Amino acid sequence: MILPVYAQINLTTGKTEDFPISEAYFKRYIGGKALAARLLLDLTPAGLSPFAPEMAVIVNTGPLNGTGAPSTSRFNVSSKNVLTGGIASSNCGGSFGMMLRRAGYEGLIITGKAEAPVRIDVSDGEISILDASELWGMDTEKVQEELPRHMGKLVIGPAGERMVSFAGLASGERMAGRCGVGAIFGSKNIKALTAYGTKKIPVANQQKFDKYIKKWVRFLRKHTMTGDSLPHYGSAGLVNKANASHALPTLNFQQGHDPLADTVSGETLAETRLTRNSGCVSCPIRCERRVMLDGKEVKGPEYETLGFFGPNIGAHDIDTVLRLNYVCDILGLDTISAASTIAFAMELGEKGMADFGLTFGDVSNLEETLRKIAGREGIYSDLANGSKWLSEKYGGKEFAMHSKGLEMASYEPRRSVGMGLGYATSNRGGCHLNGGYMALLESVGVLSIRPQDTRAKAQWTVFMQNALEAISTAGCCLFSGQTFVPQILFNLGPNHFVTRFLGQAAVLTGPVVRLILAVRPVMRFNTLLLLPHAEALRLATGLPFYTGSFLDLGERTFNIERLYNLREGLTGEDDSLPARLTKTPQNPEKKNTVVRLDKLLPVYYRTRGWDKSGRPRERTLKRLKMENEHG
Amino acid sequence: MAEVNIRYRGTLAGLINKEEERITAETVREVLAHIKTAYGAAAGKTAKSMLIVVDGESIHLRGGFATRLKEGETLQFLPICGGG
Ligand code: SF4
Repeated sequence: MILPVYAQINLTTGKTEDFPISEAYFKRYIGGKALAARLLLDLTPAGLSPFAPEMAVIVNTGPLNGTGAPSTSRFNVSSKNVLTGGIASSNCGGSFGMMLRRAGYEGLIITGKAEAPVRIDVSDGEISILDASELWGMDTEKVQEELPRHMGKLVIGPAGERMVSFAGLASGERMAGRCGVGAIFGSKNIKALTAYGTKKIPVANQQKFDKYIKKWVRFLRKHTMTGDSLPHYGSAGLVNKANASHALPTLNFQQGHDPLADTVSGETLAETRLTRNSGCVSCPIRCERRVMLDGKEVKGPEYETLGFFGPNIGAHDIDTVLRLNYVCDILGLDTISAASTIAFAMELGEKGMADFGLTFGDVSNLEETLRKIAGREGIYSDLANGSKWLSEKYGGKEFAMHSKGLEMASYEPRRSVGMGLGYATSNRGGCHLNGGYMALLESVGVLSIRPQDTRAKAQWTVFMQNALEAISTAGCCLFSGQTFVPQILFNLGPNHFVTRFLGQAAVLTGPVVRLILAVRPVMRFNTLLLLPHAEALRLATGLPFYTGSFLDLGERTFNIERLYNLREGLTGEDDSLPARLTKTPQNPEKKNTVVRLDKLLPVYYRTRGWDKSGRPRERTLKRLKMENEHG
Repeated sequence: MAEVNIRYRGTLAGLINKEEERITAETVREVLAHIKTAYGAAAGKTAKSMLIVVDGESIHLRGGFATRLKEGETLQFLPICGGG
């Protein structure tokens, strides 16, 4: 068995040593966010501030990272969440993860605090802590230009240096944006991580693996989602879809539909601004869209950024979105939290509760606002703490659009109630991906499982959360999982009676999903049609991964992060949403356009095998071979 | 009968070599019939399998193919997308 190699770096003492990962941990948690959460529980005491020197930040990979399997460039950063106080896990594409593995390490555990700015360099098995004083103050683009070209890089910008609560990390033009992981780097005086190596990444059964990869790539290319839609429009294509279903947050989630949304849609972007498509290493999907900005080609915005710097702040100018997306990236700000906090501040202003000089529809001062947030200048330092903190100071808790403290993504859950449950239960806070991304099945995809109906949504949410967590932990991009929606439905289209019938009938499938969850031990098969990652993981690790045990891995990932949250004092009470979503119908004439968390949560807890307070039951942990693994 | 704007996006625009036009139709079904007659069965089939929105709203929230069209409304054919 090829066990992962981790290093522990203490920036206070300057000491670096290899950190062995036991066989038991590897078999159970594999790597990525699952293993990182386990290590955080082991290595850090409860109640630490995210900015305490003793706090650990873990940058790690999954077993498929850099193996050449499709869409496996994604690496993970875990620590304590600056915005929620629970788990932080942030995922990023680009070459850094692959380079780290080629340099000889599957993960780095960084603790302590450097006296002055540093760059941690990992080159062919050697770890060095280098002075980075001259890099401090640079934006994420400039600092990466200054670093050696051939290296994988992970850096902070001014926002991370000033410990803005939603500062992210940049790797090339990709961001590990969420949860304030950039602020944690800043608190430790880490300006950059660099990695370079030439080591071959080992795979247990290389011949079979290579053969399987070829088959998988062909499958991805043939599927409408990964072979056509994502390569053409990326996630940006969702603006018009969400809007058509009234699931596009508009004016700080006051509405879900904006008649002018097409001005910032993926189609408009593709028709008028796109220069070419691009993508992460080893990815046949290539969902990234390049655009021109001031004569320079830059990465285009994702769906979330288009929605949040568009309709959610009452704006309809695509060039403004391109600019603000770029500005956030170079400052090292998470676009979702930054834009959502701005929308909240706009509504506070509209209601006369606070004045940050921000008004719905006025984009003239937004670039300056972002720069002031990143610099924590004056009252903008308040905005730099995120919308939860802001609502505690100025009021407006019922319309501060976060869960647990992390701003929600750009799906209006009153028209996608399963997504609402996902936001509420996601371990890192209001995240659609950790939340199970039910919006894809309810409101923005080819299938539309009765968006207002609560039946079967808890069971599907659990299934989807487990599947997405497993994909992430393995080191894959979640977009590669979208092939689980059968191709036949795309051939038929959303208007075909079969597709519509399935959307209606799916609300009766709760017991079926529970059954699938229950019979996982006998699901000893792998198929490209459901979770192709399982077979790749089996061939890469030599461990018996099948569809069932792969879903177990996802469930274990979800539970270990939950245990971290519970240890840090979060409870079932924190599985919540702002009152705007649970009490105020989006459409006053349709009383069911709210998220009935009161109905959804009990079924969700039961399906998860948690008690009424949202704590995993002993028998659940035993089933997952996690007994005796409390925080 | 209402005069409506039709916008063709994604593969459909390439297939019929047209991005928009104005036609007279009473329902979405009539627009689909027009596409089939004017641009052939393949275009008709593609159009039917796309996301159809009237003034930005999915026909699923209105009357499906029977959705009645009003003067000056815009009907769009959009590709199915994904992401996250
Ligand atoms: S689908 Fe997009 S984000 Fe995912 S690995 Fe490929 S290019 Fe990167």
